[in-house]
Amino acid sequence: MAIKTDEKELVKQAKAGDFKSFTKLIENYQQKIFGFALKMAKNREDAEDIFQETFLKAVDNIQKFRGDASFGTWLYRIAINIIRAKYGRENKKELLPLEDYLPIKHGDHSAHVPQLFDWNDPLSKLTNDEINTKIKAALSELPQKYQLPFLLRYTQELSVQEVADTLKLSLAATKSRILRARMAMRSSLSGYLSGEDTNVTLS
Amino acid sequence: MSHCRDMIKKLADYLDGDLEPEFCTELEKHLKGCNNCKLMINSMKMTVQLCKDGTCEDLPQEFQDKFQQKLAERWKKKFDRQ
Repeated sequence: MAIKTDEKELVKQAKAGDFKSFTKLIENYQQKIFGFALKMAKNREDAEDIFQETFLKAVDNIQKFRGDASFGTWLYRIAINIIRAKYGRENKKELLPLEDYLPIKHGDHSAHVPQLFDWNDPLSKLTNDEINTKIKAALSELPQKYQLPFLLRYTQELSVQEVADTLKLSLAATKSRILRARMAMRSSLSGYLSGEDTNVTLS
Repeated sequence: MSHCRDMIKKLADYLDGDLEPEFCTELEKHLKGCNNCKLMINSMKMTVQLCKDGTCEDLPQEFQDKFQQKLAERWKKKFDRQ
């Protein structure tokens, strides 16, 4: 996604050394980057570090910003690089193939079976804090390559194209990772929400 | 194409309102007679909704003040050097 016209002017002024323009430029992104850092970080202290480091790096590199992506995309890329450097290589289990998150076909009992039940019932018995703890746990199980597109799409509300631009992925790969992440999250949350392991056979 | 598995594969697009109209009609027709797919769609929608709901936390004011100060110092250091 290309840079917006009003951002373009602010970037120009900021590159020339105008701090007020830079402050205005980052104004709309501070809360977003903080929310993103909170989701990606292992603890609050790390989230504050990631947030701060992102904007300090943006100061250091503002003159290298070329404007071929939006300013927001550039900031998310900085934050993601900081997160990757901080946590290094992960040791998380790869997600199951998409097929395994789907209901099994008749007669096929070898696949992992997602649980299907009415979520409204268990959710009505949980507090917001309990739900948030379960979401955090489910998110932490996702490998970064799925966690990032999922969060950028649904909690940062970027379009699929913007997620693809930010992560430098093709549109098809982005869609596929978002879907697998969503299915994996659904599956983990289902496990937390029900005590049972209900096999469901569909057509 | 009325198998649940095929339907669900296209669900992400459906849930994001990004599908061609013919498939939407086909899916909606399928859903009328398939309770399990309805449960699947509902839980997929709620997965995202719950993640969205849990995201709001304001930047603490004290942290924000310190951050603004650090930012201004870094800016001054960078542009004073040039």
